[in-house]
Formats: sequence, structure tokens, C-alpha cells
Amino acid sequence: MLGLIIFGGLLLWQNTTSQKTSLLPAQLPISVPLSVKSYNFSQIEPLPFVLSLANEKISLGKQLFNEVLLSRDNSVSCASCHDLAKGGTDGLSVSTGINGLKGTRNAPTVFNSAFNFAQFWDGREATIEDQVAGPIHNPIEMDSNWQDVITKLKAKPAYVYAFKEVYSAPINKANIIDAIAHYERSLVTPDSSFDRYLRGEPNSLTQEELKGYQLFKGLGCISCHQGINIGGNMFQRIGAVSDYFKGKEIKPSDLGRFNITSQEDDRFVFKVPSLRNVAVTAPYFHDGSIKTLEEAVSVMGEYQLGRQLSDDEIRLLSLFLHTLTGQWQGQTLQ
Amino acid sequence: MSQSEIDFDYSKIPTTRGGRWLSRLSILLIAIVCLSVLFFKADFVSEKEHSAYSQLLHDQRELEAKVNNEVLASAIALARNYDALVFFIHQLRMVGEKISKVPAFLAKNDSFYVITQAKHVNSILHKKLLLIDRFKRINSLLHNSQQYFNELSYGLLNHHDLPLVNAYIHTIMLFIQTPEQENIKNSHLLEAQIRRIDFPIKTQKVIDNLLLHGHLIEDSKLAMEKLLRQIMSLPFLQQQRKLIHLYLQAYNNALVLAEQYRILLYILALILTLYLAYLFIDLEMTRRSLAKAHKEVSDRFQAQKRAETLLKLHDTAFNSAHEGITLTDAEANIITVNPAFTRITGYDSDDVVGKNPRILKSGHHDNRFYHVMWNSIVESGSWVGEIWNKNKSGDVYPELLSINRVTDNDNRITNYVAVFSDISHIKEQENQLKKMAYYDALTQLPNRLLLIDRITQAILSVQHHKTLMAVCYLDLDNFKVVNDTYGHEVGDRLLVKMSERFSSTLRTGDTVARLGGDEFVFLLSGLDKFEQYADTLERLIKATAQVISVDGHLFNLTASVGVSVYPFDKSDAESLLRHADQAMYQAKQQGKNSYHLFDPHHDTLIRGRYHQISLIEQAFKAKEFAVYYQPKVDLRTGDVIGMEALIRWHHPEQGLLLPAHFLPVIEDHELIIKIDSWVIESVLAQMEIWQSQGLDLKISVNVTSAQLQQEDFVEQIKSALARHPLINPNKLELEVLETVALEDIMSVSKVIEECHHFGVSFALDDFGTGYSSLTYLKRLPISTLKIDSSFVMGMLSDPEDLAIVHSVLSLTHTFQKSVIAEGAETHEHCQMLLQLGCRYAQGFGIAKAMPADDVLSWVMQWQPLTSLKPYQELYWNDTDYPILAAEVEHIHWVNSIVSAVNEGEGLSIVPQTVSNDHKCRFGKWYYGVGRQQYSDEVTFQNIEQLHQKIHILSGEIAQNCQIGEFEQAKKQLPKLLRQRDEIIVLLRELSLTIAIKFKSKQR
Repeated sequence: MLGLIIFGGLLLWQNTTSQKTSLLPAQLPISVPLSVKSYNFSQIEPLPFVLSLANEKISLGKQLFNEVLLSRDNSVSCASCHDLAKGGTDGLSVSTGINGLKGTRNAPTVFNSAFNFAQFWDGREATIEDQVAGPIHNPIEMDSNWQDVITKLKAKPAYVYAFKEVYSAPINKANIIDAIAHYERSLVTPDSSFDRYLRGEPNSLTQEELKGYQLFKGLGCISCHQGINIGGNMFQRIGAVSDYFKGKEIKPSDLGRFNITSQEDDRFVFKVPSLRNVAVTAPYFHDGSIKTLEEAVSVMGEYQLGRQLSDDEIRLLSLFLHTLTGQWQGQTLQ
Repeated sequence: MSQSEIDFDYSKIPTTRGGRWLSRLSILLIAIVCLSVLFFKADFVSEKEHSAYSQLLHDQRELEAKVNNEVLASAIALARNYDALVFFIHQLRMVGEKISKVPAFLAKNDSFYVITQAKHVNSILHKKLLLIDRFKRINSLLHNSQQYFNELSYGLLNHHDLPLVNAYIHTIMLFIQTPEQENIKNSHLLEAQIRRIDFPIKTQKVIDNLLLHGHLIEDSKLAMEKLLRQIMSLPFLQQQRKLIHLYLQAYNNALVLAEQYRILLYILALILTLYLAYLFIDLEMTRRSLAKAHKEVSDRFQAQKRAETLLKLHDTAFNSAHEGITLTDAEANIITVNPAFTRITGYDSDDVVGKNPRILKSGHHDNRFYHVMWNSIVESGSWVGEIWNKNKSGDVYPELLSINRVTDNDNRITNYVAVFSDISHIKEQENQLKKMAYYDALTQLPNRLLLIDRITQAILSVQHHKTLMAVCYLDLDNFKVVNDTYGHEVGDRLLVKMSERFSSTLRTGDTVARLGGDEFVFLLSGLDKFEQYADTLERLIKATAQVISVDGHLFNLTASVGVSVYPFDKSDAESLLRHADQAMYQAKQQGKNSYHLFDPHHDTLIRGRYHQISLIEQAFKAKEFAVYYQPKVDLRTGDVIGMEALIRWHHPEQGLLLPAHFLPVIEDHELIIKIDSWVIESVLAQMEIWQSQGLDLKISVNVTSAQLQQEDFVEQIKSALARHPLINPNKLELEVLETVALEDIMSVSKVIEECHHFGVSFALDDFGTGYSSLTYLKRLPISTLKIDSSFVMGMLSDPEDLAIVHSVLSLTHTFQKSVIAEGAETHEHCQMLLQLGCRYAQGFGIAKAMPADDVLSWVMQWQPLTSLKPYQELYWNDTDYPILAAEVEHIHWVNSIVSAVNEGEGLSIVPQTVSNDHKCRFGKWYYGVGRQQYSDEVTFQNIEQLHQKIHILSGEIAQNCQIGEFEQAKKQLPKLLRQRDEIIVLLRELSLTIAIKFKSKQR
């Protein structure tokens, strides 16, 4: 009896499976449409107001972002160098890690970093998630490792509980990264004056700021600083038109992407930084060597565009750049 | 199944049954595991995974196309930011990573190829992305330079004095449109010319810028063109197509494998199903055979139960049966017996089990009886009959025996079942019934039926013994008056008293019967002479006439009697009776109270008898009678021990007559008394004479019945002796016939004893002819027995006569009486008598009776027979008697053959005794008792050959007789007799040898 039932069942199953196998895919299925506009004629897009992110993960990420336990000697947290009150950076040329060790590059703002197409100045990591581990392991930054971090976090019942709540899982590397990444992705500064202009509020920019925007476009700044993050979506050689390092001492950190690709063509090539909140994130350039916005604009005009910008042009451009400062939790960044 | 094989023999149920089921279970388990594995293998090709991977491959190609599009769009400034490009590239990178992870269902080999190819594609993409990064950089710069160049050119184009600059601008513009080497050459030429021109400082600065960006444009444009070519010419599509192809191939392979697994699965499922079907059938068959077995077992159980009940029943029947039951095996050895057996036979089960039922043999039946019995059992399967058996205490009893043989399927005898019942009481009842049938209820006298039977038997006896028999029919005269006057009860009582009177009147051997009413019949047998019956009748009539008292009434009756005498009336029993009845009527007619003989010659005979008596009387007076003497001798010593006085009649015409010729006539006559007295007187006188002559012999004298019945008989003897005082009474011996002595044993005994007082002894004559029982013999105070001559004469050829002689001798030894054999006709008789241990004898072989005057001379010349010499000093044990018996048996046997041949009745020769030398009586002795006792004797051994020879010869004779060649057989007779004698000689030799040995042993 049992045998007959099994046999019958197998025959039925055989029928269905043989139908399957007869339909060998001659063609691959059609893909779903992507959510990004192709052939976008507009050069800059405003930041979105609404983000679809899980709040509980963001809050856990925020805790971790401010957690000194991530560092070897419990002295440094992410927020140590990326102070949201200071425009998501520390206002220093190069950051100070554990034991007061100095870094080699200027800490970029953490705001809107999710909109960057690559992380770090040399773009060595593609995503926020990939980036998180970097500072934790960097001997002059946090100088820790995942094993220690997890052990220390597990010692805190609050974390154990929180991770269990949020991830239904114990504390681990992936969860920590995910939580921090969520938090970082939430650090978006929408509703800048320029964004409002872009959204169709012509009066949100003054005449001079508007002139500055015209210059920004007309001079060709916009060639590299375009896209939603006004930069941060391509690499460019510093000194594209003329040699920026002429007469300067060249440090390894100055070699940029060359350190990653070892291509001669990539020497001195860095990620084009976002210009959002640029007014509140001085000092400038990869080494924080430029202290003011005007100076930065001037250097850019000379080495990147091959133009000697006039003071008025610099003033107008600076005015325009100030309109790029967005809001964080309803407050314009300082 | 095993069960059916064994036909329900549980022992054949495999002991590995548990193991078998374990193996079956493991087969099923293994099959299920295999099925599961195959099922998962067959279903391993996940459609979802496949479609997801296919989607990825598709997305990769699409994204790559989009990236290309975006790159191109950016190059012609159709797309004015890189966000989309960045996004697509990001997507592409992610898809590339995912594509590196191939679906798990691919075969390991295929998977490797697909992964390798995927990595190859990814590396192409990676190369592409790096190129795109550079493209973005250059594209931005080029755009800026072009814009700035346009801006500068726009300011300079208004200056008509700068034709070279204009030309340069045009060349660059042209280059932008068609970026060819020739335009670069031209621009370089123009630039060289322009550099030679000195422009105002302000203009010079603009011109330098213009030239710088012109250079930048040229370099960037060329680099970009080159980059675009590189980006677009990367073999992504071919490699991706190859990847897709590889994947689909791998997918197909997986499908084929899955298909194979499915087929395997199908086959395995099929096998499993078949196996399950087999198990099911096997189980069903097992169940059925078990059910069958169960049924068989329960049937068998029921049958056994029934059998047990039946067995118990049988057992009860066996044990409680009133009939004795004997079960034997095929060899007739007893297996078991039931309690009734023990009750009837007295033997316990332990006594008889294993023994042959012949232990119960009584000896009543000869071998022939058992032979017939066994023949019946063997041939017809059963035998039923009455048989006499002997119980444990030696009592012989009759039983009704039924023997059945039990055979097995092959018809071989396995058992015998004997069922028997003690029919002693049945026999008794039978006798009772017989009595009722044969006896008159009122008087207990034989009735007509028994009477007829007795008459019939008497006829036979009379024929054999050449005597006479009378049937007397008595009817009471006027008895009817008694009944009528006093009633039947008185009449009946009268009849009873009358019958008692009749019974006491008659002799022992005679029969009185009542036919009914007042009719009685007397059967008087063994009459020696015709007239004897008359005396009895007269006594009867006299007895009848005596007064009888019944219930105080006195009766005086008379009777009329009719008589028929056999063989004068040679009729059968019924006729004799009828004739007697007729005669009775004649008697009635003659006036009652008388008798009448049926025979018409009756009167004549009666007259004849009286005539004879008168003749005898005259002869006696004329002294024609004389006393002769026959010697009696001691065979051993040869001495003459005495003489028997015998009366003889010197008939003037008929010569010397023996007493048988005249004594019976006067037996009942008073004349006999006179003659007897005369004999005694003569003897005593003669004894005196011999005594004077020196011959002192013991003389015996025959005393007749009449003499004995005389009341003064003893006185007569006494006075006779007194008349001859010289005679020692011891020398006188009186011989009384056995039959006479038995007639009135009391008075005879008294007479004998009285005679003993004065020295006269008695001898019992003709011993063996009467039917004296041992008690009588013991009570009779006689001192000597005389063996009747008929036995002695016949003993040499008739085994039965020999046996009687032997028995009588044993008897006399037992009762310590002396014995003498009459009728020692020949030397052989004497010899035989000696061997039998009989010392004294008389007969022709010694001497005939002789006149008194001859006695002296005979005694003087008498010599013991020389042939007896060897035997005279020897003695034989009783145990050696069988030799003699065997001798006589042998002679008898040969004689029977001889007479059968001579009388032409060859068929009466018993074939068995002829053909088998073990079967004849001699043979039985020889191979039985003889061999046990004498096998050491050479003589005995020699006999065997002779015996065999005589059997061969007798066999030939029997054969000749059977085919009717009597003459031929007769010719062989002398030879037969010769051989017979040879054996006898040897036997006698053997006998002598034995006796000699015995004698020497005694010494």
C-alpha cells in the first residue's frame, strides 16, 4: 500500500519536474528598472528629506558612533573626529587618534558621506560599510580589532540587550558595522538654500549667490563637483591643469589613488570631495593645508581650471558655496 | 511459505525469522534513505536559484550596457552628472560579486568553470571601471578646457588682426569635431607661428591660455577617444556570453544529472514498490499459511481432543469392560490386558505382559483345535468360539473368545485383540437350561428329549460293546382315578414318590424318564443277556405295587409295562420307544400289572432261556462242569504265585465251553448259587490234594453277583473253609467283578471286610471296565486289582490301552494294592508288563487254564521265559514310560497305515503325520521329550535316520494310495513293517540301555 502511494506520488512529481526541464531558458529574464535617472541633464540634484532607514538601528548606530570602547584604550570614538557640532569633522588639518597620534589626512565630514561613490580620500573603500572597519583598525586612529571590540561591547548588558532587540542576534562584526552604517546614512543635511533654489524657490538665493552659482557653472567647477552631493562621485588629479606639488615636499599620502592602483596615471589623484557644508568643514584639501574657503577656491581655479580667479569671482563663488550648507535635525550646520 | 512446505510442521519455521525481518527492515530503511537522497538530488536544481542567477546575468549585461550608455552620454554631454553612472557601476559591481557565487546545484566541475568565467568577466568589468574613472577625470577636464577655449576664442575672434590665432582656433575647433592627427599637425604649425608673434602683454596672456587649453583639448580629446575605444572594446559581451553559455551548459548538465537521478529514483521507487508488493504478498501468504496452519492446528487440536475423549472412552470401556481384553503384538506377545482379564484369569498385567497367551492353555483342546483357530484368524481375520482355558490357580473354565487381528495399511498384522468372557456361569445356565429342557419339572427325571438322546447313545454303546439294551414303557394303571378323586396335587406328589421309588430300584447305569402324566420309561442298557431286563421289570412292578402314602392317603397302584429290546428290535430311538409303547398297550390289554415285550419272538426267547437253564442244571447234575486252573506268575522271578479257578463246561456236543456261554443265562437264577458253592468246594478240595502233593498255591475263585447278594455268603465261605481245615484261608482269594462291586459298594465292602477277618482276601476282577472312581477304589478293601485282559491284550498296539494299563499300575502303587495283569497273551506282553513295572501276570502267554490234574506237572516244568531274562533284573523309571508309549504309538501309526492300505482307504492316512517326521506322535516324542532325555544315547540318535526313512516310505505309500495304486502300496507294506520293527528293536535297546544305566547308578 505504502509503496503504491509513494509510487503514485513520484509519478505526479515526475510529471511536474519534467515540464520544468522542458522549459530550458533560451533567454534571460528582463531586469527590473533602476531608480536612478539616466542621461540626467541637470548637473546637481537636491538632497532628499525622507530616508527609508530603520530608526532602532540608527539609534544603536548612534550609540556605537559615540562609543569609545571601539578604540584600544577606550579614548577615541568615531565622533571624536567626526563631531556633528563641527560640521561632521574635527576642524583640524589632520585628526588625533589614540595616544594623541596625528593622522596623515584631513578628516572628511561624516555628513552626507553615504552619497559618496567611494570612501576615504583615495576612495579605497566603496561603501560606508566597508569604511567602518578602517578607523577601528588604524594604529594611529582607534588601534583596536573586532575581537576586542565585541568582547568589550558584550561586557555591557545594555549593548547585549540592544543588539538582541534590534538584530535578534548576539553582538558581532556585521551587526556593529550595519548599525554604524545606518547611523551614518542617516546623517544627511537637506534643505540648504541652494537645494531650496533647485527645488524651485528662486528667492532662496541672493543675486550675488546666484552670480556665484553662474560662475560655479561657467568656470567649470561644476564639471567635477556635480551630482547630488556636488562632488563625491569621481576622482580627479589635484593639479589637473598645472603641477600642484611643484616646489612642495611630497608625502606618501599625497600620492592618492596611486597608493591603491600603482598606476602612474593615478598619481595625485583623489576623490573629488562633496561641496555640501563646505563652508563649515574647514580646513580644506586632503591634508587640511588650506585654512579658508576663499583660498581653497583660488587654488582650485589655478590648478584645476587653469584660471586666475579675480577676488570678486572668489567672493561670489564663496558666497555661493555658503548656500550649500544644509540642515541637521532642523538646524543649519555651524 | 515454510509453513505450507512443512505442512504444518512448526519445527521447520526458520529460526532466522527475526533476522529475516531485520534484513527486510534494513532493506526498506536503505531504500527510503536512497529514495530521499535521490529525491533531493533530483530536485536539487532549484528553479528559484536558477532564475535568480539568470536574472543576475541578465542584469550584468543590462547594467554594463547602461554604463556604456552613460559613459557615451557623458562624453557628448548628454548626461551632465555622474550619479547615474556611479549608481550603475555600483550595481554592476554588486551584481558581479553575486555572479561569482554560482548556484549550488551546479556540478563541481561546471561550477568551477562558471566561477572562473564569472571572475574573468568581473576582471574585465573592473578594468572597465578603472578606465571609466579615468574617463570621468578626462571628460571633465576636456569639457572645462573646451568651454574655456570657446570663451577665450570668443574674445579673440573679434580681433581681425590675429589671423593666425583665428586659424589656430579654427583648427582646434575642427579637431574637436574631427579629432585627427592632421588637425593636430596644423595646430602645432599654427602654434609655432603664433609663438613667434609678439602680442601685447594682455593679449599675450590670453593667447598663452588659449594655446594651453588648445593643448589640453588636443591631449584630452585624444586620450578620451582612446579611453572610449578601450572601454567599448573590452570583450565583456563575448566573455559574458561565454559565461551565460557556460552557466546554461552547467545548468543543463545539472538538469540532466537531476533527470538521471529522477530516473534512478523512479526505478528505485519501482523496485521498492515491487519489493513492498512482494512483502505484502509474502505477508499475505504468510498470513494465509498461518491461518491455514492455525486452522489445521485447531482442527488437529479438536481432533486430538475428540480422540482423547474417545481414547478416554475407549480406556474406560477397556478398563470397565466385563469381558477380558488381551492386546498382543504381531508375535502374539501380550502388550496389555484389562482388569476384567485379571479378574477372569487371575493373572495380573505384570504376570502376562510380554508373554504368549498360551500360558492360559488348559490342555482341553488338541493342537488341531488351535490350528483351526489360527487359520481362521489368519484367513478371515477373526475367530470366535468357546475355549477352555486355565486360570492362574489352575482351574479350567470355559470362555467365549473372540480374536481379531489388526492390520496396518500394508495389510501387515500389527496386533491381535482377544476379547473373552468367562462363560462358566453361562455353561451352568446352559446346564440349567438343559436340565429344564431335558428334565421333567415335577419329578426331575429326564424327559422324553433326554430319553431319546440317552437311547441313541445307548444304541451306540450297545453296538460297541455287543451287549443288549431294553426300553421299558411303564404306565400306571388307573392313575386317572387318583387325580380325579384326590386332585392333581396329590396325584403329582404320588408321581414324585413313585419316581423316587423307580430311581432307587434301578441300577446306576440305567435311566428312568417321565414322559408326562403317569407314563415312565426305563432304559436298561449294558445287558449281557436278553432275559436280564425281565428281572428288573419284575422288581419295578413289584416296587410299584408296594403301598404308597401321600398326605395320609394310602395308595396301592399297579403298572403295565411294554418293552423293546435292542438289537433284537434293531430300530432307532424313537421307534424303540414307540414299540415299547405299543407293547405297553398289549400289556394293558393282557390285564394290567404285567409287562409285554414288543418282539414277536418274545415268548420263544423266554422259553429258550428256561430251556437253557434246565440244560445247564442237567449238565451240572451230570457233573459236566469242571474247574480249570490258570497259573499266575511272578514275571520277574518266574515263580508261580497262584492259580485262578475257572469253571468249564464239558459240553457233550459243543466241547469245552467258557463261562460266558452259560453263566449269564443263569446269572439271576438260583442255580448259579449252587454252582458257585460247588466251585468253592471243588477248589478247596483240590487245594487239599495239592497241599498233600507239596504244591502250596494261592487259588482265587470268581464270586458272582448273585453269590455276593446272598445274606449268608460270608457264613458259606466260612463253613466251606471249616470243612477243609487244612487249607490256610490266606490261600483262598475271592475275585469280584468291578461292576459287581460297584453295584452295592457298601455291602460288598462289608463282605470283604468280614472275610478278611478269617484271612480270605479279595481281588477286583476286570478292573478298568467299570467306571470306578478313585473314591470307590479307596473305599473297597480289596487287596488286589486285576487289570482287565482287554487292555493288556491291546496295549502293544493301542496307545490308549497302554495308557490305561499304565494308569492302573500307577493307581495301584498309589493305593498300595497289588496288581496282576490278565491277558498276557504273548512274551511281548510280558516284556512290556515288566517294563511298565507290572510284576504279576496271567494269560495265554504264560499258560492257558488247565485241568487240575495237569497243574502239578505244569508247575514242575514251568520255566520263566528266556526272552524276559534281560528285563527281569531291570527297573524303569516312570519317566521312561514315554519310550514305551512312543513304541506303541509308532506301532499304532504303522498299523493304521497298513490297515488303511489294506482296506483301500488310503485317504485316511493323515498326510501331515506322514510327510513330516516331526508331526507324528512318535516324532513329537522323539524331537520333544525324547531328545531332552536321551539325546546322549547312540541308540536314540540312530533312531532318527530310521524314523526319517520310514516317513519317506510311508509318504510314498500315502502317495500311491492317493493316486489309487493300492496294489503298489501293498507291496511296500512288508518293507514298512520291517522298518517299523527296526525302530522297535532300537527303541527296546534304548529302553534296556536306560534301565541298565539306571541300575548301575543305583548300585
